[in-house]
Parts: sequence; C-alpha cells; structure tokens
Amino acid sequence: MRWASRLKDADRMFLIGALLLALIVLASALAPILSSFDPVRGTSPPMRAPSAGHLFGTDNLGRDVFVRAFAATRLDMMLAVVAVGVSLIVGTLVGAVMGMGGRSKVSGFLNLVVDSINAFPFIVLALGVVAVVGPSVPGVLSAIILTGWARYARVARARTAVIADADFVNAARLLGYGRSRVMIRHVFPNVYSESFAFALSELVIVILAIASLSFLGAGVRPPTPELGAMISEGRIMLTRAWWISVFPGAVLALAALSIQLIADGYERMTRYA
Amino acid sequence: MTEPIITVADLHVTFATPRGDVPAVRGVDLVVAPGETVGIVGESGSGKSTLARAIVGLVDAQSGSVTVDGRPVRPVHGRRSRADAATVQMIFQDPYSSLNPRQRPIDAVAEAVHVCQRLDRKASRARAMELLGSVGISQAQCRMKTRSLSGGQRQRVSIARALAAEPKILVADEPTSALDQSIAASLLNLLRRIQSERGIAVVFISHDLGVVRYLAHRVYVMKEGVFVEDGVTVDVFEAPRHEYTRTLVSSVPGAGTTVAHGHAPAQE
Amino acid sequence: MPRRRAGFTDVWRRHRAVQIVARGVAVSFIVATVAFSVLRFAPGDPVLAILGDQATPSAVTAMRAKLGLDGNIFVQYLRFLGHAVRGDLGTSITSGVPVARIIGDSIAPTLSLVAMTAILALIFSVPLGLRLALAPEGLFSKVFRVAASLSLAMPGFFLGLLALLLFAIRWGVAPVAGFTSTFPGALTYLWLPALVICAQLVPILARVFRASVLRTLDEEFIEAAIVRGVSRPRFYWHYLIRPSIAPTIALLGYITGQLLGASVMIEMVFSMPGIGTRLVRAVTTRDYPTVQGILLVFGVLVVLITTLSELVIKRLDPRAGGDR
Ligand SMILES: Nc1ncnc2c1ncn2[C@@H]1O[C@H](COP(=O)(O)OP(=O)(O)O)[C@@H](O)[C@H]1O
Ligand SMILES: [Mg+2]
Repeated sequence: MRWASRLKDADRMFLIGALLLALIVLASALAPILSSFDPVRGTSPPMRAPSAGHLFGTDNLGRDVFVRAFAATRLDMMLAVVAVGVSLIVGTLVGAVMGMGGRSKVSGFLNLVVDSINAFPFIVLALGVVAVVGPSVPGVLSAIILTGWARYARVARARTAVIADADFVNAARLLGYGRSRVMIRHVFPNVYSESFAFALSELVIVILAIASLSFLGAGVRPPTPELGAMISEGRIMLTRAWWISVFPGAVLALAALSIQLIADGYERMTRYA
Repeated sequence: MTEPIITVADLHVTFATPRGDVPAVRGVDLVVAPGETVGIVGESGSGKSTLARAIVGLVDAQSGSVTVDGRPVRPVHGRRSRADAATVQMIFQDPYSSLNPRQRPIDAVAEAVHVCQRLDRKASRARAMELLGSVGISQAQCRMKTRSLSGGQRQRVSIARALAAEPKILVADEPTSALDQSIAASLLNLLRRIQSERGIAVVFISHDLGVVRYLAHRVYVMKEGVFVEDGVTVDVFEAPRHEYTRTLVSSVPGAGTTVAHGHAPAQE
Repeated sequence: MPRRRAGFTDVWRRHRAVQIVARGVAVSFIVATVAFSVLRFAPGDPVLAILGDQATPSAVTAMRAKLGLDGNIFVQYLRFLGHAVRGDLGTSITSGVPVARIIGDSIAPTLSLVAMTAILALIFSVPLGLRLALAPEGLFSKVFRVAASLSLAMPGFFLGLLALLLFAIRWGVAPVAGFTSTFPGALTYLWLPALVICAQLVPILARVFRASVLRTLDEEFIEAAIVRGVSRPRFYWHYLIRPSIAPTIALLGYITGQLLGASVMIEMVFSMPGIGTRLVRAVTTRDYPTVQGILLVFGVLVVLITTLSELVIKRLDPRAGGDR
C-alpha cells in the first residue's frame, strides 16, 4: 500500500485505531442480532473449547462467550461514552469558571475541591461511591462522573488561565464585549478543543475503570454481560477453561487500544496542525 | 493648544512575581493631542508594552493616573461601556495570538461591529466587509480560516476589528516587529493612511527608530521604566540630548540622518 | 498580574515551605471532607441499603447513630473530624472491629507492594528514559511507543490474571496467593504483582524522565561539560540524571495515587490481604465506616507524599515552584 507509507505517523496511528474501533463497534452491533445465541440464557453444552460453532467457546452455564463478549463491549462503550460526556461538560465548565476567576474566593475554594478529589486514586474514590449507590449501572455511572469531572476541571482550569491572558481575549474586552460573550465565544471554544483531546484519552481509562469495578464485584453485576464481570466469573475456571476469561480480556484490551491509538493520533495531529 | 486626549501623570506599574516585585513603569508623564501620532521607543524590557496596557486599562496602575478623553481609564475587567470602546483600541505585537483561532476574519470583525455599532447581523457583515476591504483584505481572505492567514494579514484584520469601534485613539504595540520588512512597510503605510483619513490619535510603540521616525509627530524615549527624553521627532533624532538616545540613534545606520521610509510626517 | 503592595502576603509568598505545608494541611481537610461526603451526598441512603426498606423506624434510628449519620450535617462533620484527628475512624459494622485496627492490620502488604513497585519502577524507567532521550527518533523509541500504547491499553487486572496463569499456575515460579510479612519471604510474594504494576507505570515514568532529560540537554552547562571532557559515568550521573530527577519527584504524589489504585486491583488478583482487598470487601458488604476510613487514609497518604515531594523539590532548587 503505497499511500500508507506516505501518511504521517500520527495519521497512521489514528487510522489503525479507527479501523480497529470500527470492527469492534460493528461486531458488537451485529453479534447480538445475527447470532441465535442468547447472551444471558445458556442453551449450549457448557465449557466447550472454541470451535467453528462457538468462536470463543462456551462458559460454565452454556452461554456463547463470543456473543456475550460483544454484548458486553457494547454496554461498556455506551457507559464510557455517557460517563465521559457528562464529566467532560461539567468539568470543563467548572474549570473554565475557575480559570477566569483568577484569585477570587469562589475559585480558590473550587481549586481546593478539585485538587482534593484528584488526590484520591480514581478507582478508590469510585469504589466509595459505589458503596453507597450500589453495584449497578447507575452506581458505576455516578461513581465515574462524580470522581471524573475534577480531572477535566483541572485541564480546563490550566488552559483557561492561558487563554484568558491571550491578546485576542484582551482585544475582546477592549471592544466592550460582555463577560458572557467573552467566555462563550472566545475563551470556551479554545478551551474545549483541548479538553476534547483529553476526553479521548480519558475514554480509555474510563472503559478500563468500568471493567475494573465490575471485576471487583462493585460494578455491573452478572448475569448482565459486562467484560470485567465476565473475566471475574471465568477466573476460577482459568486452568480448565481459559477462554471464558481470556477472550473477554482480549476484546477489552483491543477496544482500549483502538481508542488509545485514536486519542494519541488525534492529539499529535492537532498539536502539529 | 487643544485639550490632550490622553494624559498620563506620574504613572507607576509594578508586577508582583514569586521572585519579588518588578517595577515595569516608574513614574511616567505623557500627553497626546487629538489626531496626533506619538511614538514611544526604547529597548526591549524598558516598559513600553506595560505603559501601552496601562493606557487602555489592561493593567492597573499602582499609583498615578491615566486620563483618556477626559475620563480616568477603566480597568477592562469590569464592564466597559460602548463609549469606552469607542475611545481607545489596541493593536498587539504578536499577530498569532491577537485573533481568535476559532473565528474567520469576517466573523471577528462583524462581531465587533455588531457589539460596538449595534447593527443587526446582516448590516454588521456588510460593514465588516467594507472595513476589511479598506485595510486590504480581499473578499476571499475574509472567509479563510485564521490559521491560514499570514502575519501581515492578521495584523490588518486586527486593525479592521479595532476600527469597528470607531475609536478616537489607536494604541499600536510593535505591530510590525513580527513581520518581514516589506510587509511591515505596507502596514505602516496603512496606519498612516488611517491616521490621516480618520484623524485619530495613534500611540505607536517600537524599538525600531526608523519606523517611529516615519510615523510619529512626537516621540518619547523610554529606558528602564522612565522617559529619558521627548520632543518633536526630528529634533530628538537629529539632536539627541540624552546619552541613551544618542546610542540608540547611532546604532541604527541612517536613522539619525535620512528618513528610512521616504517622506517625514507633517510637522508643527 | 498586577497585585497589591507588599505586606503580609509577601512574607507568605517568600516562605514557600510554610505555604506548601499550609496547603497540604488544607488539602488534607478537604480530602477528609470528600471522604465524609461520599457517604452523605452520593445518591442513595446507606441505612436503607443495609437494612432494606422494610426496616422498623427504631432500627433505622439505631443504625443512623451507629454510622454517625444522626443529627445536623454540620455536627456530624465536626464529630467526624474530631474523631479522625484522634485516630478514631469508627467501627466496622460487619465485624465490630475498630476501623483503625483493620487498616493497621492490613497496611503492611499494601505498603510493601507499593514500595517494591516504586523501587523496581525507578530501576527500569531511569535508564529507559535516558536511552529514549539520547535517541528520540530511533527505532528504540518507536518500539517503545508501540509497547507503551499496548501496555497502557491493557486492563491491569487482566494483565495480572495472565501473569498469574503463566508464572504461578503453568510454570510454578511464583506463589498463587497470599503474603508473609517476614522480610526475604515477602519478596517471593511481591515480585510478580510488582512487575505487573510496573508494566503500566514504567512507560509513564520513562516518558516523564525522558522529557526532563531532553530539557536538561538543552542547557548550556551540558555543552561545557562535553567540551571539558568529563568522564562518562560522571557525565551521566552528575550532568544528566541528577538535574533531571526533580520533575520526576514532582510527580511522586500522582505516582503514589496511581500505585495505590493499581494495588487495589492487583491485591485482589493475587489474593493479598492488603487494604485494597479490605476496601473491596467493605464496599461489597456495605461496611460504610470501613469504606470511609480507608478512603480517608488513602487520600491523606497521597497528600502527605505530595507535600513531602514539594518540600524536597524546594530543597533541590530554591527557585522552583512559584505560580503553579
Ligand atoms: N505580566 C508580567 N508579570 C511580571 N513581569 C512583567 C509582566 N509583564 C512585563 N513584565 C516585566 O516588566 C518589564 C517591562 O516589560 P514590557 O513592558 O513588556 O517591556 P517592553 O514592551 O518595552 O519590551 C520587563 O522587565 C518584564 O519582564
Ligand atoms: Mg513589548
């Protein structure tokens, strides 16, 4: 492929990531529709090794691991996108307010809150939230949003402080633009583009965190198909039926890798544009 | 003599930094008459930009006063009135940070027209197109992405945006120092034309004596936060009284004798 | 930014050490507040979660008191802080043991794992970062970039599971589970989990170290040293590694956080009886006082290390810091 060698490194990474992600999304969209196997009720003989009929084998309850793995991927990706989207919006807004606030009392207080939330290991604080809300889909979502927004706030705060000092913002102030106009039309759009790049890289971390919580039994609970929970369920059968854990783990790693490549590529593309 | 449009009296500006206070402007007096072009020259770090920012209200004075068009200048962090915007506007040194990268030239200027002149969307865009045309930006360039404009084009867009407010004063902080020489020259011509056509006062800052000589009626020479000399341009350049001015003039071949860019400005 | 004149704030600014410590204390308070708030402000009612919605009002009242959830929120907060400062973190509702004791009993495996990992991570990432900095565009750097992407996209617990499967089960070169706190014996339990965490930590650290070496390489004294013909080992240590270490230390707080988070996962995978395992058990059994206590300890630990590393950096380079 001659055109491929002409691409820049960043473009190539982005492309490979996008292709990989497209494949995974396609598989998770189609697997539950096209396959006759039910992701929750087992209808096949249990613990069968991978074969043409069951690409990833079957688990101890006779469920097809392939169908389950991709149904799980769909759930994990949707949860991650929602969680990242909400934290991105909330965190960036708060961070922008903080960055504009300079040395005011409100932004000083918000600074402390953001730094303190970020002081916690992400997964630890998320576990704390799950303890209250309960191990469930809403539990996972609120855990990740309540602990995640502060990281976007930190990124947006730093970026806003830079942008708020830029000459085009000074020009806007000199022209008598109102505070909200300066914020919405001039500061925010320039902060947002960087926050978006950050969100892409966060998507990887959040997908892994969702799976991690579920792996620990503090996330989405069986029998709902979820990658971390599947890996955890297969754990005790690791020596007898490795495929029950290993295939979901591989799908999870590939999904994370594809997004990682997209995020890295995007970041480098926008940096050198 | 007419009432000055800018009066700066005993201005001090100090920056507090983690390594201690930095006095950037240390007692400066300056007057600018309506329609006059005043040059400020001095080496880098002498406090020119800080003074410029104090005049428009982008930094606060530590003591002293800045009166613009009969009123004390208002810090831009509060709400500025339309009258404030129509008094003084500024052109910045770095063309790459003085335009919002998310706006095309037409949008940036139309926004300024819309806010400052209270025109509706359509009228704003038409007026913006006119302004951009008058500073030499073509119709096609108006709709280009800011990212793809050159430094000189960006400065022209900045000028058009400033003119949208129809200010009485334009403060230009080294608007040409990031540009190639020929491009700088045409930008200077543009500034000259604007100054004479609109009769606005211009405070022109530069470390390039030739450029100041070409534009300014009067000049102030700044060093370490204070003015060491001021006067009518030709006098200062041809018979410098202060040691520092003499070194400045002698270090620029030709600046003291011939005029770098053709004809000298009208003299009093 | 223009600022007001000298005065109290100036004295404050000059004594950065005082400032760093004060900030550390302030953040500790807010960290404690976050640990406190999780129970109170996360959606859902812990009392009903424990007792079920059929509970009698008197049982509910009793449980509220037991969890410290009775009375005005402000009173609750002061009570919580007052107890925490004296080392009283409440009592586990599942076992009746004081939370402080639970933490004391399970902190040894966690801290050993964290320490072991930190040492291994430094041993790997310093030479790696140096190698990357000296040839930033070479094949080595490309391979590193790919490997780093791969390992960062790998779920840590899955990596641990694979390591367990291969090293412990297949090849039998590591124990499958457990921990002992005797010195050389602990190493047999620690090396594999520590390596698993390193697989994800080293790429990050090596990148940070590479960046600071690159910055150091730009400075003039490097050229001077080369011109003077300083000996190789001396050159590396004195002129490259030592001046580049400060930015890595600056990240120590962040790294501790990462390590503690990773240790939660890895302790579970390797069945180590550490705080992480305790925390997960407390979460799944809704043992709120224990959850709250462990959150507090983890948060304060990170703040403590961040504060210490800021002080160390201030020692190393008195000009460093300033506005963050
Ligand atoms: N925001 C700021 N914070 C701290 N010091 C500053 C700031 N802006 C300018 N200075 C200092 O003030 C002095 C004058 O700077 P400036 O006005 O930019 O000079 P010039 O425009 O003549 O080059 C310099 O020593 C500069 O370092
Ligand atoms: Mg300047």
